[in-house]
Amino acid sequence: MTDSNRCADYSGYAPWVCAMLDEYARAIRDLEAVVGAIRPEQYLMSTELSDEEFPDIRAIMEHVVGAGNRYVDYIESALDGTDVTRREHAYAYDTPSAALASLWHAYERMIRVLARTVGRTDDELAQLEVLTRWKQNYDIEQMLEHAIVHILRHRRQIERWLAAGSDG
Amino acid sequence: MHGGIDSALWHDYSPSLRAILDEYARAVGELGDVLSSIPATRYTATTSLSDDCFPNIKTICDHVIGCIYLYADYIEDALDQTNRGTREHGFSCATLAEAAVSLWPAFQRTVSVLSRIKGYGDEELEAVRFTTRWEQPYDIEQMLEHAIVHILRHRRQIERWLVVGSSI
Repeated sequence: MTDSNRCADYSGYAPWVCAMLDEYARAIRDLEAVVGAIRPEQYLMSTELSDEEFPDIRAIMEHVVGAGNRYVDYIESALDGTDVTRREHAYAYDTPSAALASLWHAYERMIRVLARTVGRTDDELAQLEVLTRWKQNYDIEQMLEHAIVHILRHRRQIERWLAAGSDG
Repeated sequence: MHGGIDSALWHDYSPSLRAILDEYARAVGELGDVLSSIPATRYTATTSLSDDCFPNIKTICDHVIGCIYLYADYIEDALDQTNRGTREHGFSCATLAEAAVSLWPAFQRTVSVLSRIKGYGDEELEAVRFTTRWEQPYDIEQMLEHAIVHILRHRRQIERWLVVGSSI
């Protein structure tokens, strides 16, 4: 039961990978339900919750898309056995729909990269380490958990911003 | 409010912990909602997805509740810089209602353990590291992400079981 209506089929992946991808898609859909409904002016509004890192919802979404792609990069590097080097992803989206489309593109990338897990045992995969730029070790399962919760946290953040309203 | 628990319990925790606990509570609440929608006869029924580990929804629920405590135990041990080993959390919820209600004291124990580090941000949470009995290094943030996604995965599992129907 994959999210095959929207994305590439991954039903042949290991059950735990399918579960992760299903829940990742569900988290993105929940974010989409929030961000897809906001008005254009809300996308760029500042609130009492704004700060230098996240002045508006546009900045949050650009961060979310960038992180979504970086998590794919990390897993791709782990599966390839290559060093993790930061790839440059420049993201700028004028509308919520453009940001969401790019987030789904990052999710599609994740599906394609995880195709390389097929045929490897769980033990083999557990041995593959990801060392992030923030100097923390993850295995692929932990990286996917982090990716899912990252979406959840920023959906919550945007919900709080919308509740806080605009200061004009 | 999240289910039977007021989020005011963690209102004075760090922004990082508030975000994680809000999403943890959301995941628990969603699982509770699914459990509340299940006919009583399905609780101990087998399905085509049953296996030795999870013969029925009851065993899934008992497992999920026990793991919420287990993850809190890991964090508590890490904070105490000790290893008390596996505590007995032998849950056997007789009914769906009992299982749904039992999720919340388990979650509340996590909130209680985290009250010891309520001021910790992401970097401080990442600095407390430990190794699980499945030989995987975690920090506290990773453990909490694992805990959240564990709930999501088992909610998904139960939803799939409900789709395929019972065999008895």
